[in-house]
Amino acid sequence: MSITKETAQEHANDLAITCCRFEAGTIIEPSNLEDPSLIPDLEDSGLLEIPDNSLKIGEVLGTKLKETVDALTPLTKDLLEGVISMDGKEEVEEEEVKKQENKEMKSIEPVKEVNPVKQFSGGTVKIHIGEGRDINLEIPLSIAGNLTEGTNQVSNSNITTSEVEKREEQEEKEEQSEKILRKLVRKHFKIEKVDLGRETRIDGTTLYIRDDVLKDALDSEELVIDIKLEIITPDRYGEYSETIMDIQPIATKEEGEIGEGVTRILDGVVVVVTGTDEDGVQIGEFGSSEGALDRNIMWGRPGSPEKGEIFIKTEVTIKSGRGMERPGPMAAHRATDVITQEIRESLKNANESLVVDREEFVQRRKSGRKKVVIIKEIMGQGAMHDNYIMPTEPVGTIGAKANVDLGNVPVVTSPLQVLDGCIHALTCIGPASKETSRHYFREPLVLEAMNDDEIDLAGVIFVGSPQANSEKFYVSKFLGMTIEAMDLDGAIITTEGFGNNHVDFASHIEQVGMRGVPVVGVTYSAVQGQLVVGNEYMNAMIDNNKSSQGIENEILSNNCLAPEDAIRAVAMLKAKIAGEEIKDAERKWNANVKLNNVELIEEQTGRKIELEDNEQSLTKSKKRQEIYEVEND
Amino acid sequence: MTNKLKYISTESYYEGIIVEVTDAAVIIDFKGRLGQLKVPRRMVISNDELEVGHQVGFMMTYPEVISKEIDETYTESAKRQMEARRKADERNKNK
Repeated sequence: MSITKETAQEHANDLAITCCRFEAGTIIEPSNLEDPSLIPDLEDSGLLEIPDNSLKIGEVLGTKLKETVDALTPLTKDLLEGVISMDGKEEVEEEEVKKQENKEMKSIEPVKEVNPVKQFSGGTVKIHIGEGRDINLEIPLSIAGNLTEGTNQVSNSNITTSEVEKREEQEEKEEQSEKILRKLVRKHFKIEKVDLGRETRIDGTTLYIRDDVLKDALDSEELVIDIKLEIITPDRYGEYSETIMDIQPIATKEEGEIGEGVTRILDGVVVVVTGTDEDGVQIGEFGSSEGALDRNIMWGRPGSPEKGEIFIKTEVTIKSGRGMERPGPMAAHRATDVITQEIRESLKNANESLVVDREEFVQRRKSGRKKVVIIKEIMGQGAMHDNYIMPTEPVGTIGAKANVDLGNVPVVTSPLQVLDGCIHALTCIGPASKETSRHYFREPLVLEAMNDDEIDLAGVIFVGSPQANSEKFYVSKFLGMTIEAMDLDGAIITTEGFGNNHVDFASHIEQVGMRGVPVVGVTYSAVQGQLVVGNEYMNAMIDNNKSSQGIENEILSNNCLAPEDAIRAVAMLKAKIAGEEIKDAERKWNANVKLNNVELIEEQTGRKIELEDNEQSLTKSKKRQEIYEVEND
Repeated sequence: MTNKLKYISTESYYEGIIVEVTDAAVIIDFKGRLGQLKVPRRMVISNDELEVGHQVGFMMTYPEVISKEIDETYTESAKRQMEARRKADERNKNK
């Protein structure tokens, strides 16, 4: 396959391989050369062997073949006449452009490698050098700040420290205009014991649940034919459970609406929704986590329970065959919420003296800093691929609308609304990558971006992922327009699970990228959930995988977005906004890419990044012990 | 993972017909009586809303046994699910 002139320019530094047989005397043009992106495949398949002295595309264009060569011959000096090395004087116009670009790159590079960095709050230094081809350098303050220390990294004589300082002062002034948009207070109540009683109430650190509450829950939903309630204390973690459909915090509004005011929350206890249909078929789509609880939960992830927490676990039985239809799973969630709602009411009435901890979240508009948004793609294909948006109580169901019913169109929320439970997750895609309701409540990416003083998190946009491609592109276009109207400096797009949702994931990234907004994608992919499609804007991606083999292993929350991923995503976005070069992806998934990035961030910021444990920390199931992970010692 | 396989990259193009669509899954019948495949709905890429009768194309390779060890827990759970479905089908037939 020959290439075009544009491709040749783009790949001037890639190897020059002939695409067909050419006679001696041919002047080498782009149309004589093989597409560089195919070369690794050709090499793998053994069709091609590349000698050390192979020339690059930029070097061979315009030269003359001395002898006749076959297809897929790497071009070397002895085959060609008139080769000019790329370091030499160039005669071809195209090359001149290329070379100039190379020079520019070189002048930036030393700055890029500066480390370690003193933390400066936000902004960039813009330096304009009015010579030659009007080179514009944009260096993040965090790096430029280091220049003022007079280290040997000041490679460009045009940058004077006084200029930087002056600029810095100006920036600082701008930064001072911070506006508080809203506040959210979380009041924590400690629960150490859960028991059944005559009425639902909180007595000190004991939560009593009315013993006949199940009847109300059962009567509330037509599709629910049975519901059981179990109180799982840590000593019962080893017991069998049906597949976990959701993990939910118990919280209620004391004052204000979701996203502001005061929220009361119970510590030490979570609601766990599980269920089957009346024939015993798990309510979970392909990949369910039924089995011993402690072997199927990745403890301590944003979306999972903490070790030591008490589970209020419902086991909902719905009508036969309805588990795979949209109303079935919804009914299971709503029936469970009847119980939770009663606990919420009692939490509202709990005595103020029982508050053990207070957290305050503040949403600020930080003008003068890079304005970014987080875009969360949520499942919207129906059934277990759905989410309730904006209930009246945190993570409730009452008052909420399903995003499938909303047509999956983008919905803009504030970061505090997300942290206050504006999403009730109905998602039951693979347990390892689904984001539970609790995940949104503790969403690490929102927390990381909101607390980062170098960026201004303007909001969180939820966009559903419909089934059909035509609808995917329909919602994606709206997302693009939303972004355009917001006048952003950057965006991070996340998606859970894998499959056709990566079609719209790619499209969202394109819609944002084509508007000139730097964009970073976050998803689970590793070896199993490879992206179906890609485009030119998808060069900055964060892989959420934690499993040692790079696969989905049905362990709850194992491959979900965790704090370490959030730190990487924000760092990558900042690098992209600063215009730093991002290396091409490796051809095969390699866990070291992530570790290298983590090391770099630690080096640059001096911040220690805690890496999450993965399934290796759990008791190995027989399958894992004997087949996949045999220990040699 | 692929280094466990002895025979690799033998995937070829297959076609099939969607014979069942639920909110969560589709069943694809392979053309040429080669069997059936049930996959999550979100795994199927389509320009239109999925319908019974739609033709789909995909690449597949032959499954190869990579370990003779019996995976008991996984098998048990899968069997339990299959049995539950079989019972449900029977009951629906008698209705």
